[in-house]
Amino acid sequence: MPPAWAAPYVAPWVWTVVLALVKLVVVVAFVLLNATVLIWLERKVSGHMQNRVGPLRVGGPAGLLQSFADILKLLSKEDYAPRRGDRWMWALAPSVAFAPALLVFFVLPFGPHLVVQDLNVGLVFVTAVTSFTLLAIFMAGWGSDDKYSLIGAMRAGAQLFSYEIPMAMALVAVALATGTLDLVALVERQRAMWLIVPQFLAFLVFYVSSIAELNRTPFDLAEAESELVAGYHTEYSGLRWAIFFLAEYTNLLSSSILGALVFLGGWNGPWLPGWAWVIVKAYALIFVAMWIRWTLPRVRIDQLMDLGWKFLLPVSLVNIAVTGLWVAVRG
Amino acid sequence: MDEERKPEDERGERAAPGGATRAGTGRPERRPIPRVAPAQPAGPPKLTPREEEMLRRIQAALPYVERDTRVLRGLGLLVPAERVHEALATLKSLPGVLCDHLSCVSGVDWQDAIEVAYHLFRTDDPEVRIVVKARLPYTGDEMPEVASVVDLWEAANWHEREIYDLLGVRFLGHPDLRRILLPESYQGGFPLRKSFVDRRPKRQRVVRAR
Amino acid sequence: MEGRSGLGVKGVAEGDGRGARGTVEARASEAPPAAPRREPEGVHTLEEAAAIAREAEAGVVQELTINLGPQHPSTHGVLRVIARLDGETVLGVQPDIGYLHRNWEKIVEGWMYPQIIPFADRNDYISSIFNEWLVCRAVEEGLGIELTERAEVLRTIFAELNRLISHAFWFGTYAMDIGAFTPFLYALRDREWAYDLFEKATGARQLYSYFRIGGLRNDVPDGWLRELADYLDYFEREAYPEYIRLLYTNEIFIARSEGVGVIPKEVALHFGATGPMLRASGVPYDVRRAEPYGAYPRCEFEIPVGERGDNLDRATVRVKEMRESVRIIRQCLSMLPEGEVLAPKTPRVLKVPEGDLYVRVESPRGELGLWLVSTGGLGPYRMKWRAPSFVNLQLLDYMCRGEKVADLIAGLGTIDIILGEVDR
Repeated sequence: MPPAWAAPYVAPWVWTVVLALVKLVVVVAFVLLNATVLIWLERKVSGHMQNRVGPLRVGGPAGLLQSFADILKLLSKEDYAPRRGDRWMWALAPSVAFAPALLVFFVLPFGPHLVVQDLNVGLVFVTAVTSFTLLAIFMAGWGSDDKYSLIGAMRAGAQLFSYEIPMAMALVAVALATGTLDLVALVERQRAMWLIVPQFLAFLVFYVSSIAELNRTPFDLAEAESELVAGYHTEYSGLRWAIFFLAEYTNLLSSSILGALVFLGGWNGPWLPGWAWVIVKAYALIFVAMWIRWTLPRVRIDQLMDLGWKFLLPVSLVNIAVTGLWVAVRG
Repeated sequence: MDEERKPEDERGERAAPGGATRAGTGRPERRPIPRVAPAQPAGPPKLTPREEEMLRRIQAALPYVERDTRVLRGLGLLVPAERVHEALATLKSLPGVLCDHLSCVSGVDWQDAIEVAYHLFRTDDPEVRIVVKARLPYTGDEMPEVASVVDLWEAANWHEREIYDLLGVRFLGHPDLRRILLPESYQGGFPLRKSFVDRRPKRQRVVRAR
Repeated sequence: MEGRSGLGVKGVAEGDGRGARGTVEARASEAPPAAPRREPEGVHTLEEAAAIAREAEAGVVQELTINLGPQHPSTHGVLRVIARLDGETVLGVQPDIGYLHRNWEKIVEGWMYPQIIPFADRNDYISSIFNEWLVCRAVEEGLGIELTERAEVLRTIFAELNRLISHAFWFGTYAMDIGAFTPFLYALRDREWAYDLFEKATGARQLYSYFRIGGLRNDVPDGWLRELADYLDYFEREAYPEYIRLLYTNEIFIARSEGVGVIPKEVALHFGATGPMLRASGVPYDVRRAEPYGAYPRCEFEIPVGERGDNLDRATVRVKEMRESVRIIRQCLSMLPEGEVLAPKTPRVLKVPEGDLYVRVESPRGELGLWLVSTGGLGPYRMKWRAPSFVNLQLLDYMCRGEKVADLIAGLGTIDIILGEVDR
């Protein structure tokens, strides 16, 4: 519904469409901006962890514009397609990977009213939508007609599937403890205490699973460089590869924001405005993920499965049981 | 001969070894340097007592084995081509010898024959150093044959393939006798034979004036 | 064998069956160890792999053949590995080598001995000092040239320094093979200083051509030995503990290495493995000890051995060897005499007498051997290069059967191959 001052001039449906477009642009801009920052940050963090300095030349003293140089380079590359394989599936896969990554941002709140669409089942929506990434990876792996891509896609399938469950279970415990699936309400209930304190186990399970979902080291089996060359995106180059890359970093950002909202109290915090707190907390989680990535070796596929099914899942189930008991006892 | 002259020239331009003092200035003092290698002791290289004992043991077990005096270090044995496998199997299990490490299998082309050599060692006794050699006569482009020892030492597998590839010796009983270093389609002969001619187009060479 | 009399060394290798004749005979009277079968068994996963292979033949399992290489991020050069897979399980691999083949042995046949040294460097380009040492030793032994004391000790110092950085580099690449990129750059950091040291003394960073028949090209510059001592201090105080921490405190590193790619003792000997590959399987065999050369007979050092022969043992053996290298260099520094570095009696015309000899040195990858056949000319009649990587690579198939794809790469990493040496 248009507000009172605009009501005489625009039809309600026009207002809705325009508003939706504006929101879309804002979200895409936010995502792209953050992705460039994340690429720069990853290079900087890895550089300093590896006894190097990272990008330095492009754009100012700290190489701030390095990501833009990267993007320009990727845009200027030849769009090279595998001769055989399923051409359509191959071409669509990057977009399919990026779409769910973007979709998540429409329900992530940055403040009590700073949200594109306040769903009352936001938590469920997020977990449901992120699962779509698997589809894109399968499309890429199958469409490329490349054995490395295929193995990478199969690994990704097994991995995403087995870590989706512990992650959802961790969130179930959270929903049980707070009694809501609405992300805004969830954050509001953390005014007194961040959920990471009572739900530390759930946080641990959530964080490990989200790193696994993101295909980051030590769980980067799907694109294991030393084994599968580049996994499911072996056959991608230029812009298509860039979109995959973008989707990856967008997923990193969205899952970190989700972690910040659900476990770290979201916008609750002194001095800074609420949305800034969300960003700061999310970037703290991202930094830890980068730290882990540049420190640890990769696990093997069977060890990965063992960790998911034999450790994380039981732990999260126990956590649900304990939380349920606690809720029941407390009334 | 031109070959004879070159090393002298090289050495002549530099300070004589041993003549220069590091702190010294000016031209280093030249000391007479022996022009050729010290005279070699006449006769075959001497064996250590242990090697002599090993030779006795081996000859007792394998009467056809002769000592190869061309081998400058260690115990060299000459074996008829058709007895190579038997000889190596014996060396592997003969008490007092018990070679357990086949270090190298190699071959050399003597124009009329290819000599294959097996270098055997023992990991817990450094005094056991045995070279077993066998001459495989051949003419022209034919490939001489010898029994493979892969069943005794898997280590011989790739060495034998390499000899097959580069020297043209067929190892009978080898499980997987294929080319190993050269491409499968290579047609140019056996590069390590002395009769090998490189048939690739010649690259232009820059000849430096001396 | 003159070095054996001065063998006042202690170590793991000391003790069983070495030296005294009596013990040798006692050992000899035992039955010889049975040769393992061609399809070696004993690792439970192998049986599983065999079962899978049978199923594959029956058409139950669909095999997937993948080509790793010749262009692949982790084949350490241009190696091609044809791997047969059932899902993630490796059914068998077949290394395909020769992409870097230049027929080294043929090329040098027309050359004079001093000319061969720089070209020999190109074989094992990560630790090239060993190549030149081998060529020099072969000619020196053939000619009976006695080196000066200083030359022998300096050669040992350079060799051990090269071993140190070769193992450090291996450590980095192995970590990269199992997915951790960061240790690689730390290994390069430690290698850099050593390369600077090499550059100061030899003028080159990687391919030195520093050894001459009869000694060394030049003495080390002033202050070099002090800087070397600084480097050793740094390595022992900072770099080495870092490697140890990375290795033994990282759960994933251990999980990825322990019990993977097991090579029993008998199999390692059967396949002719040498160097850390053999020692990790529990055979304390080291050419430096078995056939002492250089200054090794006067140095005190241990030969680290493993127990099971898995990837972790191979890593441990190499890391421990780094420490032993530091020890050896320290001892060499303390015993380094003044004097010339080129033997004064080196003849001008180098003609190895007619005959053949087989010389070995212990390179970081194993036993580096050279069979020199001479007809009394200025150059070799035939030179056979026994490259340790070439022989060790044969074990890849054995190591990887029944393991996962990731372990194939890790196994390839622990063999530590240099393709320049494999293909020659």
